[in-house]
Amino acid sequence: MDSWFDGIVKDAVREAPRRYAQWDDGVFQMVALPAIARMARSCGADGEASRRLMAGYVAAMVEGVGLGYIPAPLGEDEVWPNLLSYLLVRVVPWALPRSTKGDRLQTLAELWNLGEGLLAEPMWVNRYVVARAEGLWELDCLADWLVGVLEPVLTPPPPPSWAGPFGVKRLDLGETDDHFLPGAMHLAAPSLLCVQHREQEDTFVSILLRRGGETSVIGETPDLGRYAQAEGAAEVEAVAGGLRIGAAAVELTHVGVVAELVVASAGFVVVSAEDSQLLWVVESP
Amino acid sequence: MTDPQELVLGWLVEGRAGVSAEGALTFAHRASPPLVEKLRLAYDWIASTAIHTPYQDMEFGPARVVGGQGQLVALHSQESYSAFILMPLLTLMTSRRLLFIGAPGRGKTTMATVMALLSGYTLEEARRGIQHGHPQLTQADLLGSPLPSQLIRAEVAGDIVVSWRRWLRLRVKIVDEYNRIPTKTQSALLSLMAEGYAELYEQVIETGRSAWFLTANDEQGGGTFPVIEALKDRIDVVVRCTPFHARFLDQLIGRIEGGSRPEDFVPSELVFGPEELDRIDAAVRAVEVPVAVREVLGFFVGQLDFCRRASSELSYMNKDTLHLSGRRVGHVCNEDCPLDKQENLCTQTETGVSARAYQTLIHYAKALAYFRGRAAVDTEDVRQLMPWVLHERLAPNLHSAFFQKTEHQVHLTDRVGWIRQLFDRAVAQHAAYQPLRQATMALKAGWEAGVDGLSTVELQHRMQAVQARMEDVLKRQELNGPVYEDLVLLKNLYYDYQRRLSQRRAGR
Repeated sequence: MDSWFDGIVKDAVREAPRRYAQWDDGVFQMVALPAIARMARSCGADGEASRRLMAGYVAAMVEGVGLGYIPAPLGEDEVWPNLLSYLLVRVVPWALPRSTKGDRLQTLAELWNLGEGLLAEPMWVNRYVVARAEGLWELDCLADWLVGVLEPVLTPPPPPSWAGPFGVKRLDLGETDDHFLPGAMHLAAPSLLCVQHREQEDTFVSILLRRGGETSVIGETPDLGRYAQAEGAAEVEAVAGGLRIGAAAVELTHVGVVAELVVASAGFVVVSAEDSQLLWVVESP
Repeated sequence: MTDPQELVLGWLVEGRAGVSAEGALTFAHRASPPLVEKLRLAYDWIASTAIHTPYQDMEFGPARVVGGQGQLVALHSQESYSAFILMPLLTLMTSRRLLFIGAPGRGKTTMATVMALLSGYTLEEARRGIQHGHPQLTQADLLGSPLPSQLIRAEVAGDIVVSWRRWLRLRVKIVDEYNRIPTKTQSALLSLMAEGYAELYEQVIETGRSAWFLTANDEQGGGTFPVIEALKDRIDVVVRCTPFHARFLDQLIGRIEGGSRPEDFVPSELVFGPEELDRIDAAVRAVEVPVAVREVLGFFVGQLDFCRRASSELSYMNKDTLHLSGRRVGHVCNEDCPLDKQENLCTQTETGVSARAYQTLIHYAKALAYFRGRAAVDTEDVRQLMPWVLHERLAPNLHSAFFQKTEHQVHLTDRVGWIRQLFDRAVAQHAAYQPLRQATMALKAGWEAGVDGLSTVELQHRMQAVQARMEDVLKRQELNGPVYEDLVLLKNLYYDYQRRLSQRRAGR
């Protein structure tokens, strides 16, 4: 460790066990310290501004470890449990020193407040946001980015008519994972579908259901939890070559034998087929 | 559904992080988590940092049993706790009295000190507040005394101002090696523990709500002085400290290298203020004890006092009758008693359970349910707590034929296992006995529903129904503990109806 921030770290860590019930020195050494070192390299030469920024970053890392926000080192297949830890450890050391905003400490404070605020939301919201954060390397407009990410899952869609004409979109989950075979499906939120890998019960792919043909694959996620929707969304029945929704027939090309079917009261029916990596997403107007 | 714009703006405006005027990143205090969450954090911190014990002897959930012939080990599916850590926390929550027993050097005083630190005392305050038992400890050492100048100046006793010891007002009171306190001084301690006050020179000090932690090195409570029975009886729970396990040798070495001790501090975010402890107390008391749990508990407790051979009078068929005549259960619990000694619980115990112990058990059960995040006590809470509440209160009948069987002899050395076995049998018997009790329970429910609106004729019919039920029970069922309890209940109901009829006739 470079000596110019060594003292900053020692001062911040000294009282940590006396403040935090969940202080884990191992996590600090293995996860936080390497990130702090990366941050020091990005900050560049010693100077008052760098010192203050480093002190602020170290304080945030100590607070994050002490409150249990920052996890132990992640395994190869593990995902970050929350946006705050992902940003603090992965993104901030690279992005914050390059921020064009005048006050980078203020950016760090806002990042913290957004991340900690998000932690109060249900787990599925956190996991969903983290899944969307891959490729986020710009911190200056984090609040706007977060609003954009949350909008499709938190804003209620207009009620569906279930009267047709129905749109059909096919999603190829093989593009996410060559070997992914869709198994059991469940809703984690009104517009969020979790699809379990038929052969690996801990592996899921999540789908964001959006009107106007905008349904998209979020990617591999952990199980985002279960959402219990009210009964009676629509009467849906699998028939040869497709579905019957109420009185309407909906053709699903190449569906073969329907394996699983989920009806979302947000206005979607999602169908998987045996021996296919495809999902058919039927959308009600 | 929520407006994401509003949500995100709220996080920015109300967030804890900010930049100070000096240009430093600062964090406002975090709102305290819910109290029950804080208690669980406290447990986790103690278990991971302060007291290292691998013995999880309060286990919940269905068990998978592993092992072949011989030793079996149960692996439970839900949470598990160490009684050595959880019971002191429950005692802090309920402001009751806990005794740690076990060999020296196993963390008894350390655990008690940690409880004091959790209540907000500094290490120095906690240490100074510990009362150390020794043969020269006097009442003045324990309570305080007036200054000599006060004694000289006073013309009447009421003029003397007592300089009370500071520890008397602490929320957590620690008495180390209480069995080394002389008998005369034990009486002063008894008054403090039992009544919550002490008196000297006509002045009284109230100790306020407090949790007591006592330690003793010898399981029998022996030591330099025998402990008076009344003082023993005021101890609510007894917890054994656990042996050290080599798994934690690295931590011990780390302490030596770092010059630290487990009781040096507790993290500031775990400290409970007096108002928080009061809120916990209120929340614990509000936890429900469902009827089903009360019934099982009542069924269990009712069997322990019963002794068919103590008297021919129903009201005196209990172990108190025996003891008052200088006899023991072993004198009468033999082949002359027709009850099956392997099935009936009454044979296993020398004593019954007092109302005070019953209250203690219920209070701790509420605390445990609260700690586990439940709105109501369940039978498992009672089962887990019972050995610690009854540890010193329930004595085995060593002469019982039950203990002559090889597989039961282990219960004579393992008090915890023995008490759990008693309760498990009671639960099984309660379930089996339920169909036979329905008519009795219906009569009880009839009284409890209220009888004010009944005519005199109806009251008489009810009384006759109770009598008929008693005759039926006496004719068909063997007089064992459960049947005895029901007969006492029925007799009581009979007299309740009789009293009500008398009142009607007297025009009241």
